[in-house]
Amino acid sequence: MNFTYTVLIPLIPLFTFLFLGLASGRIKPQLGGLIGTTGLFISWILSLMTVFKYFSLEKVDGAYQQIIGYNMVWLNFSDKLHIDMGVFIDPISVMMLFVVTTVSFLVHVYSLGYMKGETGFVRFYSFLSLFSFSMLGLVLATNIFQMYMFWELVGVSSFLLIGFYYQKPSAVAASKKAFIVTRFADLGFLIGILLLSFNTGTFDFLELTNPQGAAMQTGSGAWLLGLSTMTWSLIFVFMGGAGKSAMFPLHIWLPDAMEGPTPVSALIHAATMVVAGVYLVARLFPVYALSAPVGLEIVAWVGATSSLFAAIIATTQFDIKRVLAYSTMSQIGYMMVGLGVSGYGGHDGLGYMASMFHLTTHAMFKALLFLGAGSIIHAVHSNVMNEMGGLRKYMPITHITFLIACLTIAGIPGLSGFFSKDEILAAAYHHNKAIFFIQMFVAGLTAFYMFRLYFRVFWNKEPHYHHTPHESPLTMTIPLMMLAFASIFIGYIPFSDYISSDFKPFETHIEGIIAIPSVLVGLIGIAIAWVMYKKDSDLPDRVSHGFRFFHRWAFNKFYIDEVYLFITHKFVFNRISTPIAWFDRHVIDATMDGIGWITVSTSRLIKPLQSGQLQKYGFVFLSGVIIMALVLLYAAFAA
Amino acid sequence: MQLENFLLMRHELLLLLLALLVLVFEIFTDDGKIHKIIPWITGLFVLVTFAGFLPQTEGVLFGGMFRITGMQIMMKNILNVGVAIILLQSAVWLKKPENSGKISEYYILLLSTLIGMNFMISSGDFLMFYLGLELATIPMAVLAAFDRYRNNSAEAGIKLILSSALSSGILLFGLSMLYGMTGSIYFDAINANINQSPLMALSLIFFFAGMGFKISLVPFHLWTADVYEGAPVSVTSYLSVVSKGAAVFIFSIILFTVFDKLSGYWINMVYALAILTMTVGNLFAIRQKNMKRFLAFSSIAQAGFILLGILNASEFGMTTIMYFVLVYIFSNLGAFGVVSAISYFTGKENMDDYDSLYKNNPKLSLLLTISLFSLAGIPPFAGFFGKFFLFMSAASQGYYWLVFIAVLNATISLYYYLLPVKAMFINKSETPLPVIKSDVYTRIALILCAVGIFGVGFYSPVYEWIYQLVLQFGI
Amino acid sequence: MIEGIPLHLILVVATVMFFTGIYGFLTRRNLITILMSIELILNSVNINFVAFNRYLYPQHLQGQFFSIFIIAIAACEAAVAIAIIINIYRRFTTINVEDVSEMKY
Repeated sequence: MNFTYTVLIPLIPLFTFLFLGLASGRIKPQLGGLIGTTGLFISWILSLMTVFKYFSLEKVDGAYQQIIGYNMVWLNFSDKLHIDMGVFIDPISVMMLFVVTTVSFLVHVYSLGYMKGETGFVRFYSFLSLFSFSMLGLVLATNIFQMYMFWELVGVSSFLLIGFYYQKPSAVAASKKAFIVTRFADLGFLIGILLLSFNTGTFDFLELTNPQGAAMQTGSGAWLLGLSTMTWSLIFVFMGGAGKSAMFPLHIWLPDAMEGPTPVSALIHAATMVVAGVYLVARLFPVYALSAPVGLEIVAWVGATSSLFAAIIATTQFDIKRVLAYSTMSQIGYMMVGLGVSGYGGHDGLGYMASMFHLTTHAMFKALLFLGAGSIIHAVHSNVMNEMGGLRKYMPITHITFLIACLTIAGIPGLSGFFSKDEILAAAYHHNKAIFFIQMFVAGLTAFYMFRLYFRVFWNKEPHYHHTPHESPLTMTIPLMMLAFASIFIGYIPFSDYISSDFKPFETHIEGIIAIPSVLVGLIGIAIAWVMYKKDSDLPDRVSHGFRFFHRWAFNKFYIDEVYLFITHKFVFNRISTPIAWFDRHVIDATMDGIGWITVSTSRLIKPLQSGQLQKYGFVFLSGVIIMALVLLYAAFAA
Repeated sequence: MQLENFLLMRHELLLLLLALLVLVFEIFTDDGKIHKIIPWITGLFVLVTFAGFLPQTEGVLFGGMFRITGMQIMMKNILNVGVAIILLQSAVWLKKPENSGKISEYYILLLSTLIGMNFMISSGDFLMFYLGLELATIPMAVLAAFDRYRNNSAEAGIKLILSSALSSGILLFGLSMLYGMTGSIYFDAINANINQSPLMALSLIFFFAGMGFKISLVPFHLWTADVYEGAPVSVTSYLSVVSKGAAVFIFSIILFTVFDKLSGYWINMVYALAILTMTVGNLFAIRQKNMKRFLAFSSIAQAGFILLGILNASEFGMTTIMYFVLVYIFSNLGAFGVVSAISYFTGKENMDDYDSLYKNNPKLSLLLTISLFSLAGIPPFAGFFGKFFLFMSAASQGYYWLVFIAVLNATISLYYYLLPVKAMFINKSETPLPVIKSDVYTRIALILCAVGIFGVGFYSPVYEWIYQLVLQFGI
Repeated sequence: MIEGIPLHLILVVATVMFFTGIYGFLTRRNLITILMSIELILNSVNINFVAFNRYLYPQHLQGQFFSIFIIAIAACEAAVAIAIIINIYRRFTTINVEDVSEMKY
């Protein structure tokens, strides 16, 4: 079947980007927004077409085919080594097409309302189109070089979008930070690519990931620290993925990136760009699984650490977007764990499938959460939880959809998050018990911090609003409803029929031994949040009241409250969460700043070299010659 | 020797003709109207540039002193493109009243340095090489000291001429030892008689230091920043792009073809200096406040990256070097073009003066941003491809640590390349620079740079074309 | 071939000249003297070329030609350098090399 048309899916946003970029300032803002949205709509329709066409294709040997939809040799280095540009169609790229275009389209629609009246409305849409183009190009890449190019381009467009409010110094600092930190991570990616391609002699995914291919056999000998070249190159590649996907300790840019407009956060920093790292590992999964199991182990542990770390920090944050940012990091950690604990082929590949499954469901519910947060921010003009409360009366649609998203992420049965999270936990259970328990604990934390957010924003005490909050316009609520719909029902897709590590469908079923505890943990988290945050949080006051009117309080309740208070506020918050949050801000962040500081002070240290004195220049010149001569003569005589 | 053999020197002859034309023009023009030659010379030079791309036969002249092959023609064409852009950029500056008496001098000096570089690239023996080198250097000092009434310009001139004289003295001393050992100054004969004796290594080091000076490798780079800052902007861009490009070309040709048997020595030197140059260049660039000085140090760091290509003494390495220089010409001239336009119209050269530039001059700011991104090696700009190929060429020889350091340096460089971007788009300024109405020459030059920055990267036949030419040359 | 004077003595003279030139370049404060030191370096190269040519490879004249070109170019270099030095004197009213260092760091 012919898939040449798929090349249009990324190209249409490119054209709208060029058009809007050139016409910016000359066309009416609303028209510009409509053009951008229409472009994405067409891409979306084409993507849906591709999904149906691809999965109804005849299977070969019971496996889905990998198809090069379109290919163009872009550069010939030698007969063997060449760089192509093209469209690669296989189950995960088709899945990503669906995710990216869906979220992107809905964000385009949503922004029509959210960004209304902002200066640079058309510029915003042109950047959005640029981002969609680069993200789709990344997803459809046929080779690792193309992927790297679009990878960086995605970084550039993210830089532009985070810094969109460039009058705001914090936004600018954040965009710069995001750019530099991810570039720093890409250093590893680039070296990984070079190692990988020279090792295997190809950039092509098709050749690289072929389990029987020549590429898989190369570089298995030990090279450095007992690991093979292949393993090292994949570890380096993963470093790039970890940077983009905000994995510990390269995550520091993600919370700051929340300075960007909220639809951007939903699109880039929740649903699409940040999962690029997961996608990268998934893309190279056969290589990881078959020829570098150590690399996979690292992926699993980095994922588990990040997800725990981020979930703990999320419980302490007051900025709702920052809570969501840490939550995103935590959920991506889940996906990494899924890949890390997976094997290759058949039911062993459960983790791989689960990770992709979770990627899809997460994209839906996290985009929903962000867009809902955007709707809240739109209504109360603040990001901070303390200035919100009782909003359920004013914003019914936002409230209901937000609740659905919270229930989904908490893993309540029947909603999509339950299915995908459960599969990841099952895969972890069979592979690595330690990681399984960590992830189980994170599941509880997730439920807790999400419902903390939910209760504080929609219930709790109403602060004094300057003007009454109101429900957002239809352009904003319709995407919310569509995403809520998707969050509920997308879990019923039998994912393992479509996506598996070896392209062959396999059976999955829910295991009670995993599903029941995970649901319970989720419910406990919700319950704690309920008690703490549903009403105005005056627990400290009640405790002090408790001593005065001791007899009027049931002993039992008081006791529970006290212990509970001790455990949560005194112990968990003060002893664990707050220090970790502090560690995040002051140690990990500061390390990055420290590298900068060292650079600058070294630079100051060597300043006298450039003295302005001609003769000193001559002296340095001759010293250089003499040192080189001595070294070489030594080498010559020693030889 | 037949007359048509002279046509092998087409590039040089055309440039010579143009230089003579300037003289003739000057004689027949009134003193006050001398600026009328600017469009003529610029236009004629563009024609010369196009003529350079016409097909040409290969051959050897003067008993082997002068060689011309497709690859060398391509090198000269790359330089010509750079000079064409520089001439366009300098037109508005030349029209200033204080330059009125010196317009023809500027052209003659610039063209003679270019002729020198062309001879240097085509040289088949060290005499021709040395003549070309000096012809490319001595007028350059005059150009650097061109603004007679500025202290900095005079200082730049004296620093350039004295330190380049020292470096060429050392280079010559190395050549004399080479001659003493091999009995010839011809490249082929030297290559045939070369051996791995320590004295040979010593003469290689002297040669290396002399060329390192031209390419401004650390520790031979110290003149660079001062001269770049003091010289007029168009001369600085010429120095940083064309002069450096020519030196890189001949340096790699000589290393690959003459000293190939000594590669055991020079590979280690290139390796060490590459690290040193990238790092020191970056460390100094971070602190700079003057845009010209900033670009000077950034260009030192870029030279360190070029060395990565030299490490791979093969067709692939040579191609990546030429490709990188081509890309670098567009990126660096884009940046210098904006700096030069702003310097001309407002007299401001400091980074602080660029605060809020975007407000009044969005196009200039965008172009500067693109150029800096390209220099930093961010896709999809051409600079990325240039850097990527250099990394690949070094990695294909197994220099993974070096590539690691280079990529790390590229990341550090991103930090300082973003500083002007930040200044232009973000920093608030009470008095942003006024709207700059640049003249038509500057605009054409800047558009050319923008086209180059996008086009050279995406239009892959450029790379393959260079590759074919290098293959025919054979390394 | 000069009777009674072996090649290595000539080379010693040249090398001494070379390093004298370098010493002068690094220590003299007067720009003109620095220029003279450079001339010393170039002349030591000339001696090298001529001596090698005469003693080792008398069948060709490559070395001698090379030294003639070096002499010519050294003259050009001196002319340009002195012109710039004159301008330096006008601008700075000194030709002390240490004072010509407005640009640094």
